[in-house]
Amino acid sequence: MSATAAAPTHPVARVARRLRLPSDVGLLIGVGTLAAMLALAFLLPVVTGYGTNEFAGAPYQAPSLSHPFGTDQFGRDVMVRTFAAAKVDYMIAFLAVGVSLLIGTTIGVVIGVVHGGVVDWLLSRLVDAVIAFPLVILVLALVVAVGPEKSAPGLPAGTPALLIALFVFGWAFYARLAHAQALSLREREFVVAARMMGYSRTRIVMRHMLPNVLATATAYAVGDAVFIIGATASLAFLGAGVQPPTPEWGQIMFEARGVLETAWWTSVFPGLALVVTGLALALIADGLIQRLEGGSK
Amino acid sequence: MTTVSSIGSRVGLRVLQTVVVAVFVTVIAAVLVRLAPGDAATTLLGDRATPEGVARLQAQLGLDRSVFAQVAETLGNVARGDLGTSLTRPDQPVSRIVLDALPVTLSVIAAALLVAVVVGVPLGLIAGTTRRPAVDRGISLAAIGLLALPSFFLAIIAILVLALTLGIAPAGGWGGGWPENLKYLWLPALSLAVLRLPQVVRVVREAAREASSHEYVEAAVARGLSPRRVTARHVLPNCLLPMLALVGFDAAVLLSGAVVVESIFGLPGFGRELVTAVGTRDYPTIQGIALTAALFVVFVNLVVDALYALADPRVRTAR
Repeated sequence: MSATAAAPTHPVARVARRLRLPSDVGLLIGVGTLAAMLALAFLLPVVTGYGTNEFAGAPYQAPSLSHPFGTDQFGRDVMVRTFAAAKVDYMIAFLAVGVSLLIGTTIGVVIGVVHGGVVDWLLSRLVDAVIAFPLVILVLALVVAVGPEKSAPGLPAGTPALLIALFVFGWAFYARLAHAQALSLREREFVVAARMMGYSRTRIVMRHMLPNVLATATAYAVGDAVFIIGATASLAFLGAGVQPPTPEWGQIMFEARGVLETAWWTSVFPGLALVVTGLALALIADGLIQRLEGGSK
Repeated sequence: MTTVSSIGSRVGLRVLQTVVVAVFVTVIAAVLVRLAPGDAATTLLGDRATPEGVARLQAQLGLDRSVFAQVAETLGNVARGDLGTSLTRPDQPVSRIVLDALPVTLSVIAAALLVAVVVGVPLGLIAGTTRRPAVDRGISLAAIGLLALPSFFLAIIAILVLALTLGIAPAGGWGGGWPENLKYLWLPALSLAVLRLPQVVRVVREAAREASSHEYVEAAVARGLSPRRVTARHVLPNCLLPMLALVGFDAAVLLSGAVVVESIFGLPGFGRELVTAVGTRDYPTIQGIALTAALFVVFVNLVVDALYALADPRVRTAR
């Protein structure tokens, strides 16, 4: 609730900073990993000949040459499903973070520009109120309102409710972030100079403030995507995430929870994919921030 | 410069802020039901929707009146502590359900915080004062992994290893009272604590790094004080304020985590009530829990701010 809470660097990126990778190396590893996982998501069904929801052999086969990640309770290929889930999880993270960023940044910059006064104060309190709602509880409430089985064109069942909840919740963080940034940018030399040269408020916001705010927010958003994917996975456990049979890492792990001892491969590989994705995103977030810091010097 | 009256007005402004945030929270909770495409009552009844049933439910939810009337009524009711009646348990006021579940959820959070501090502060101090980058790197790699994993997965592993294989804790359930509950509490608390551990370690590490660079710490080292004494007397106190800020910042995240962990261990807290209510589309109960949870977070932030002012000598002596 205090203004100091608006740390411009995402916690995930700050942890990644301690790995001390140069920004180019981090960005290359991060982007390369994500691209490779997506490529496998599209290629594997073609190469192996198994669809994501197709019977591929006997159920609960241990990893072997024909099924490197084994098979699940319906005899589906776990490797095909693990990588297919990357498509779903990346899409949710991208949409959730992207829309929140655009809405939140716009509102935040507006609050920052109308600095002072009742509008600033009231909008800031609205941001506080939205952030006070625990995400999991908010999603559960919205899922009941929207309907957990609802699907939309291009979106698997369960995702519309989840995405709406992530939008309703997510914009507030970016608004707080952009607000704090806009306030500090107001005092920077190039903005002060632009004001003295008599440029209009709109021009200063669009040309001088928004690009800076968007750059920081984007770096923050990449780190945030790690949390979004983790939350999506956790919500699958409560029945409020992506609905089966669409593969999603949390959903796969949830379905496999009863056989962790006997068929560990059904949950360990999706879990590994989650962790690898988190690491890749953390490296990208850290790389972007290093670039930003380097650029501002 | 800082006079009594300016402190008074600052406290007044802070309280006013909290009241306005609480009003917004209530409005958001009241509006949640209206986000349903079409009519919430029809959505709630699903296949069983008959015109009479929909009309009755609309009246019960107050959906037959204008949005403003509904929000105004909700505000009035909440101010009186009335959260409505459960749809599936008509004899149960929602406030009763919430009050029964709240202590369970709060004890999980409190115990998890305790574990996170007891384990996380030493780890953070080690990471913050170590001279070996390999140790620091190892801790950060593990932290990213923990941040990325879904909360339920660790809890399931905890049940598998500690409860089912080693048999040192019950795999779930809740005792009749205290201190019997402790037996059921520690494993859920541990699971939640492990999930929050990366954040605690990071905050303590950064605070320790920051404190170590101050002149008074260098002076203490120069005076020949032992490293342990320097850490305990000069570095550790500087970690307290960032820790406090983290608790305020993380209150909502802790509640979310508690809901997930509780449902895995079958504790009769918010988690179970929520999942039950979601299954039966018991809207007033969900609304009541969401509202209570958010108001709790607002309250925690107010308390943290107050403690912050009390604990920080710079603020304290300014009076």
